[in-house]
Amino acid sequence: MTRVRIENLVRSYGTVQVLKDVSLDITPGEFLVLLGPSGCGKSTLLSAIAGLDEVQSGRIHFDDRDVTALEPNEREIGMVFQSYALYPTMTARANMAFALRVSGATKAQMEERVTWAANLLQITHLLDRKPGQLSGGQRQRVAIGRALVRQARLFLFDEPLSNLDAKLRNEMRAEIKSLHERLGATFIFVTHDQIEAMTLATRVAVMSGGIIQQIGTPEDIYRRPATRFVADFVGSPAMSFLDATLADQTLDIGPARIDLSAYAFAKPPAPGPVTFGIRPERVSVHPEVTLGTHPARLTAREPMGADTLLWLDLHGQRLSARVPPEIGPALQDTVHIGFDPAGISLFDPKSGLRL
Amino acid sequence: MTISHRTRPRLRPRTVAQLVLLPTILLTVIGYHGSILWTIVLSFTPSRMLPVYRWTGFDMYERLLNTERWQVAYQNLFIFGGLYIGFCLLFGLVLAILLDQGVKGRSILQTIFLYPIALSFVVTGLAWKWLLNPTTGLQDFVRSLGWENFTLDLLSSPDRAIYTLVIAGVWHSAGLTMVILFAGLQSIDHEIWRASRVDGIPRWRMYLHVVIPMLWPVVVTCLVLLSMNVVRSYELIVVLTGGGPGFSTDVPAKFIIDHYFARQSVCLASAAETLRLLTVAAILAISALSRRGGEAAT
Repeated sequence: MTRVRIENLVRSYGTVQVLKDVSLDITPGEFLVLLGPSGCGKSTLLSAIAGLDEVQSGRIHFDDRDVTALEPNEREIGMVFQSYALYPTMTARANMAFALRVSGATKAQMEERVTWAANLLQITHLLDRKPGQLSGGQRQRVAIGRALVRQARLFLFDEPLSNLDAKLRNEMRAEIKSLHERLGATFIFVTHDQIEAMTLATRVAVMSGGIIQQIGTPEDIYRRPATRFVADFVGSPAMSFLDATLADQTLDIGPARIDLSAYAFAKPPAPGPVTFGIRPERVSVHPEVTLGTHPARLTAREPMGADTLLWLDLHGQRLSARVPPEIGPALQDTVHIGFDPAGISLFDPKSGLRL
Repeated sequence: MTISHRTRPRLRPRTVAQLVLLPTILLTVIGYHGSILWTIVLSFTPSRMLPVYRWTGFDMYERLLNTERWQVAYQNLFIFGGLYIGFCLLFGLVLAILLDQGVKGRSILQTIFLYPIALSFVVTGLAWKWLLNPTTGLQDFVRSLGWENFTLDLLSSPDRAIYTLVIAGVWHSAGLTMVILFAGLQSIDHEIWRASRVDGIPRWRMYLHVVIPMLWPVVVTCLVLLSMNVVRSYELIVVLTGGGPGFSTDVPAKFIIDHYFARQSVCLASAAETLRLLTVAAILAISALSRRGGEAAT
């Protein structure tokens, strides 16, 4: 269990700043997921934590130890790579034991550690095979085993599931989660897949453009996105955004007026243009006029099995609604929609910050 | 296309391909394999300047194996070949690893080391002949700098002249080996290097236990290329030492050509050629086996 403290980290390649003054405090035993689109700096941040990438300025502390200048192997970390990065000329057993062998461990110690890790990952029967004779999922297990053997207190995962097919990915995801619970070590996991982030993390840090946009529990990130970027990136199908005008306690989208008395403003609101965000499952669709609904035009239906996504046109602006599958087919072209007040997010149209 | 199909009798694409290839196939079968067969046949005859078709069995082979000049030439094939291949691989690997470590001015160094391969063995031989000539080359140069007793007299010593061939050959071919091995090193997944840093594995152990074994198929490719150079080595020897002093630096190729065209001993030359062919076949078989072994390992 390691507390990881990152202070004002800056990393640039030439003139391109990949990490812009990133600070982060990870509590011991936490499962932190770094989430973001490709090129957002999440892998660079992970490399910096591992010591594989130098940083121009800023400090990294593990507990009370400043590790900024230490080599990766001096940081007591285990790391799992996207391409697994197994040594192809060695058996799984030798792969897992190589680091111990180099550090001068005895045969008995190596055997004990490898057996322990192999049992934990259920790969005992694969130990004498070479990586070329293993499937993707098996290679991934061996790679995790190699990280476990070294008795690390911090584990780093660099998109470890992205090379697996969908079914295996779900299996490995569940296994990594239970591994975290059993080991109690701190995990930092990089991914661009929001499902992985939501299911695995105790906290998620959403990154974009070299900065951390928001850090919080998966629920926080989903329900109270701090910026428009986070709101847009997290959630599938995505949140709808509409241009609106804020007036005291109400909001106008064209002629439609929405009551905002239940909305928790981050700071006292100023009247003017805002971006209104609503998740599809927070839009209710009715065939007839009811209290607090607004007329909208139904433009398309996308059945997705468990539910149906409806595309709607509200006074010239597009939004989507997620409804039970039996509702979709019965609807006429004109429907009446209502917004769940608890599902509304408002953003400043210029800065993108949550209001 | 459709018109020509209607007006001409239609040939199936496979037939067309076979027709196109026919001249090449005939040329190869008659010119190449036919010649090989003819050579083997001649080695069992007492032909001198012109072919005579009278069976004499293994007489020529017996005579060949008892010829001192052939013994020296065949032995030289292995001395020269072993040292040439060994040093080419060694220097090639060391240079490739240095380049892979990100030495400054990589592309310039690469060009410098690769340059000799652009020269033919004739030019290489000439250049080294001049360099090693006691009165005009390095010896004279060093003496002119003040070391009056400096002697660099490799070419005129029967025991050491063979090593001048190795020096010139390695100078010529180490760059090629370097480039091939360097390409192999570059193709190794960089995450493996990152993983080794997390594991705390020193670089030299990575090269020894992981990277060089991974390069095995590439090394075999180099071996085959270099072996071909060894077996057909002729120009370098002719230009650099002329097989001398005496015939101390003779090699099978020179022995064979001399006996075919200068000494009018077609039978002996053919027997020698057949032995050389067997040697090549043996090398190819070994390399095929080891390549299969390498593939099974990865």
